[in-house]
Amino acid sequence: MPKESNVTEDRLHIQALVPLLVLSIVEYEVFTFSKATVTAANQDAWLSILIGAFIGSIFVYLFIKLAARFPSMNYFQYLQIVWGKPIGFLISVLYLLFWVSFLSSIFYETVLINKLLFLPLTPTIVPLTIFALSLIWLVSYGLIPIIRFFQLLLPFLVIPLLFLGLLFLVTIKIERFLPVLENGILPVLKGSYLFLGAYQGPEVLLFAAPFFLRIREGVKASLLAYNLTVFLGFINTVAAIGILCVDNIKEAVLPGINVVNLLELPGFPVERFGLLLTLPWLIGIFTTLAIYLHLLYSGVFQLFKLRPQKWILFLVTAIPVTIAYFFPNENLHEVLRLYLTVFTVPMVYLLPVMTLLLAIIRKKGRVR
Amino acid sequence: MFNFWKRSHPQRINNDTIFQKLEEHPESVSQEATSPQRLPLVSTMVRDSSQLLRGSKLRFTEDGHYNLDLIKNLIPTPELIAETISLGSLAPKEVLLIYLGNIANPGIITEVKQRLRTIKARTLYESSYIQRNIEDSTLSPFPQVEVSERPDVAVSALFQGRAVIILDGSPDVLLAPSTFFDLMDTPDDVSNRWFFAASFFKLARYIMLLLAGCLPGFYIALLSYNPEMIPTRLLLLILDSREGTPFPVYFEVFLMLGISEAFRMMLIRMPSLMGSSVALFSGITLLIAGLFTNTIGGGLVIVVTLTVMSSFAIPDYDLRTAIRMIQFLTMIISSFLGLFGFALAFFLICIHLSTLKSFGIPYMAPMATMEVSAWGHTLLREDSEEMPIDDTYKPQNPLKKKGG
Repeated sequence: MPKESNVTEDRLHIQALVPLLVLSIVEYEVFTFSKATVTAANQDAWLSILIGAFIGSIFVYLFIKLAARFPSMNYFQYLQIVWGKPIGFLISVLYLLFWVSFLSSIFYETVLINKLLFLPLTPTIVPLTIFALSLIWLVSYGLIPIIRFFQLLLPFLVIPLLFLGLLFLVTIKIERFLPVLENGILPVLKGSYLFLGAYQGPEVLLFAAPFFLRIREGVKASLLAYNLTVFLGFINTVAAIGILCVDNIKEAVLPGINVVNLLELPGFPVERFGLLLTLPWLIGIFTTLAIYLHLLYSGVFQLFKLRPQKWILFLVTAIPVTIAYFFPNENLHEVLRLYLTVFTVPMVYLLPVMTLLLAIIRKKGRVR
Repeated sequence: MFNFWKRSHPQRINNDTIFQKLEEHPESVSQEATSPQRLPLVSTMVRDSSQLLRGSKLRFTEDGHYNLDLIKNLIPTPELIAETISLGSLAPKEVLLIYLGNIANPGIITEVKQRLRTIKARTLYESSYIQRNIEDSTLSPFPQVEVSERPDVAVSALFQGRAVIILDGSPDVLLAPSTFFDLMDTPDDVSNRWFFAASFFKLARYIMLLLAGCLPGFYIALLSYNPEMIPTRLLLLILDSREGTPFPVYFEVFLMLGISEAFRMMLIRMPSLMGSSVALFSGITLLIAGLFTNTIGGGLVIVVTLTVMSSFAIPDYDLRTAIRMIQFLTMIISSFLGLFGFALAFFLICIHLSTLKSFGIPYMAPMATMEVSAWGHTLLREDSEEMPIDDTYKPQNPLKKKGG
């Protein structure tokens, strides 16, 4: 059969931003960040999320504005135009290092969760390698198939989580949220910062923008996607506080699982809904790994002007996998994760906004 | 070159690969051929590969020209274009390519022609020879060309902008390109009076497809690796039913599904008068014997029966076969890697589906192209006064330049 098709292919509707953003943002943190936010803001963590979501939405709006100024270029391409070549190059390298750390952290968490929940007796290297090879297969097809893959998986992620949200409603105890603002506003703001740090992923749209035909019309879709993930995180945290209570969340390793296992459906002889979390969890992790692996891979060959080749992809995947495999212990990982959360805000949110400001000042990009 | 319209006096067909248009020989379209007196008996006899409650009972026959006339009768428009090509080096056979000139995507038609031209064979016995040679990926378990014996399905495909390929001598015509959702459609979806019921049954089919592909693997993963995730009362019931069974869960599932496949093959090959009775009798005997001797558990019987039943909700035979094979793949991976393996198998299938194309059209369109406006009449059946216009096969936005 012919290899070249006569049909002009591959189109990305602006609605595809929804699965792209939702599945890029959702990973383990969405189910576990309640611990960090609750540790900072106690029972006011829900307020932290609302404030964080408001700030995050403004950032997402600005990202679209930035992408619309350079509709046919990705972030790395116009970083060098806006900041100048040397600084743009340095910032790009910083991103690559950030992604390597982020990917290593998620691979390590995959190993941990796998050992804890799924395959306690299987050598770590086996599932890790199979996972990495599957990711390589997907990433080797490029961004558009990755986004199509996300589109297919979106219902499998969102429907179980929304169903859980409904179950939460009948179990939550309102008195566990009182008193409001017991420790003032500062802990709440700290919680908001941690929330923003946990929600890494909106920056993906800066790299995917050239694949969308009218990215400047993507405000609604991207805000919908961002706030859908916020909603999922919000119900998770509210349920954690309302069902587990603050003290138990601080003690728990995986509060998400603990909460779900405490759920009861009145009149239905089934309990332990933890199973409902496992598939969304694995979907979240796989998709996040896929998109960041793609960014790292395409970033490497774009930045160092290499030709896209399979061996680069294997090499690029091998780096975080090796780091994750040889990671000394959980405590060190906790430290790394904390640093990543703190660095996420400047890297993911502030740098693109500064780029937008500089582009406006220097009159770079398309102005409408 | 040849005049293929002289049906009663077939000439020797040259093996040239030039398409001829129907309009070049308008006089050849015989009124006589489409008159009721000339209808072959077989065209009104229902072959039971799929049953319908409502709608046309007409079927294609082995006569390619008769099939073309059937379509012409159903779509009396000058926009209907039929082109012919003869394929086969030793005993050439005539292949008809039919499409609607004002609806079909020219890119797709060119692609179909190009792929037909590249077929190298001594002769073509059956349309499956064409199918396997024009598909984008022959390694894929998923069919990328739809096969139908129904003229109404072919007509509907033409209105979607797809091409119909008829091989003279084969009663099964090919519809290209085909997406996953085309293969999940049945004519009953359209003929159903109430759109809500039609949508409900469509959704039920998707759920049954998931059950057919995933249930046995999921059962193995849960019971073998993570029984603690099963609700206690349900787990106790399953364990109670498995008490005394000698085999591990995965072996039991493989055994039972293997037996069900054997029954299916038996049903296909045996004469229809006695086939179903013998299959029913053997099935019940084996099941009762298995349960009474504690060789299999009751929970497993439910799982396997549900899986087999669900697989028959898939309307397309090729897709059904693909799902059966995938079922075994998920079972194998789940046997080795539990729930993690089950999820991994699911990801691998989704990766394949999201990268697969049929003549340049994404296989999972319009779902995995996020054409939300098309979901109403593809994933579901919306309440529309007019026939919805399908954009799936329309010329698409060129994004090739921007890389991928």
